[in-house]
Amino acid sequence: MNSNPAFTKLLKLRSRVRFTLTALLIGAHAFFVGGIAFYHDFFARPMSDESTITVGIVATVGVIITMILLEWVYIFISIRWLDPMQHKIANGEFDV
Amino acid sequence: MVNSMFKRSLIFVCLLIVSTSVWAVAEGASVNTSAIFIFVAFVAATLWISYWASSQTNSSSAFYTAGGQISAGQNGTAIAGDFMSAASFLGISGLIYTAGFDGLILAIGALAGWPIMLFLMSERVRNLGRFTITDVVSYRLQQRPIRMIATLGTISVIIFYLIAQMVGAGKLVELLFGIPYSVSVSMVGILVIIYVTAGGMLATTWVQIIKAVLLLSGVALMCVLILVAINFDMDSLFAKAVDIHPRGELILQPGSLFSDPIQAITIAVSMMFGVLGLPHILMRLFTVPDMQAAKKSVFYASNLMGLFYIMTILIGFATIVFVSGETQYHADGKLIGGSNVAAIHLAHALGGDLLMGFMSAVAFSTILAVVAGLTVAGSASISHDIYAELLSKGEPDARKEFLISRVTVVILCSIAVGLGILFQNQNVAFIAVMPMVISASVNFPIIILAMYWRGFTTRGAVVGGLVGFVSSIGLIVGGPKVWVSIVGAEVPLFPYDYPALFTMTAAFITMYIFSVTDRSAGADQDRLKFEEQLVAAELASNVASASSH
Repeated sequence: MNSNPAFTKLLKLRSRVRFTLTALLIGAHAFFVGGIAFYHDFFARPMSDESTITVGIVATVGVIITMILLEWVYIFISIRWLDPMQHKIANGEFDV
Repeated sequence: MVNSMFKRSLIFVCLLIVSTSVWAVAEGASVNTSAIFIFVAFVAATLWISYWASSQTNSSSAFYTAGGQISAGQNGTAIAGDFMSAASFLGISGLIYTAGFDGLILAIGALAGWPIMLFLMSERVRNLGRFTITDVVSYRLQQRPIRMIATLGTISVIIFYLIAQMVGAGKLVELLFGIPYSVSVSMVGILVIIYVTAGGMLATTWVQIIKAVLLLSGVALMCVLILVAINFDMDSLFAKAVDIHPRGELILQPGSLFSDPIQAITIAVSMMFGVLGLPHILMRLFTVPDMQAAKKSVFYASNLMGLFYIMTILIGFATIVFVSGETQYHADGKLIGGSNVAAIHLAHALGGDLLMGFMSAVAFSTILAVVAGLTVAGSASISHDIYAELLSKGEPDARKEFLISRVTVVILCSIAVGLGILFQNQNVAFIAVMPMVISASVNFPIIILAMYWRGFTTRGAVVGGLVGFVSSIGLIVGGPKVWVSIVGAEVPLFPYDYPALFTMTAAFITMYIFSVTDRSAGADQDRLKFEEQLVAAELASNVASASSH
């Protein structure tokens, strides 16, 4: 099975999706932690002159939404492409 | 046999609850009748579920994983119910109440682990394991040593997690219902023993689902009431919070808790990777039929939790506006019950006794659901990992395994109740940190490397796991929460509360060094079997389906 080119292809595609999304997730998290650890002045700035809401508050909600959206992307790609491909390979159809 | 035992214990618990409520009313404690009513209804419903589940729980696979027959939607809700503890709702809103913005780091940190669980772990873990995470890591590594180190990680995380939950439960129930600490802790223990011994994972799953639905609807209702009270003007909420809070504008800005960047980073790392090694959470992945369902359950769970944490942030800032200025929630200039119950006071401010009673009951039911999940995982670790796989070499006596799994439930709950009472007046802040750090430094590195790194060997896993374990305990004991708060030293030996940034890195480095230098025949076998494992992990082939055991 490991020499099956279709399996190698599935493996490669899956790894690419998994590690790209993981990197983006860690990036989003790092952006938030950085706001506490390194650039607090930026996070402390109000969104506008009339507003008391700071960049940090909006960024926090944005980071939560980004994390969930990344999951939507993974589920979409899996269901649309990767799982059907896996199904074919598992059923012995080598040509995908 | 189980049924008659069940009926007797059922009567016992009903008597216990009724008598404690009567006692509390007679003592004139500040008892909220709606809280008692809702809590008794919850207990009655969950006991009925355990009774129903007991007829379905007739094999070890039914006990550990509900036979792998839970749907993705149900499991997703149950995962959310397992993870959204009273600590995260009350603790995070309480932290925002006192510290403002920096309290958000716990919410984001806890949430950040979930997408990684989806991307890297959900599919492979489901395909390689049957009942426990120890199954996953022993797929290609040498059974005996790897099962021992994985069981050490599992059991220690579960025990510390249990104690933290129990102490939290005792304090909370004492405060909200006026029931004495030791009685409430024992009540949690007895109820969980009934759920788990009778209904195993099936009953636990439904307790977690009901709890998740109650908690989410309660929190959502609070958010709607907040939005109505502020006329849907978010800006006015934050403006008022700044006006009222003694720290003023600083509460909307980072920097009140952490002056040291490393402190913030190591908390974020501990929370994020701690989630990824929690045995009772990962075990839920085995309750669904296949990897597609496992993946979807994590996805559904994350959506619910994302929503939950966003609502918790709103509630946290609303506590500042609606609670901190009200004299009725304060005594001697301090918040009654401390900042951890700020959200409960907010429920009272928004919806009177009824909503406060509801949220108190929900907070208690939350503890029951988490403790039940931990107990199933702990019991599986002992009766499956140690008895069935290690001692019986994979061919256990079904009757003995049945007995051991139930006896372990009773022992685990008794230990938790006993230690909960013992630590009643101790400062236990470190006990809440311990499971996350051990999970991130022992369980997570072993699982992720076993699944993804061909060169990983048993020796690397065992030595690295031990380094992670010893360093976690050492640095927490030498840190501020033990060395200063409990031992009483002036300065800690190690400056950070959450050491996972260091302990996890140490574990990974040790695992790498002891794997690449491993020239034994066993190590060659470990590496050779990676190919076979890869096929199983990706194609879900040649793995016994969890339902066919």
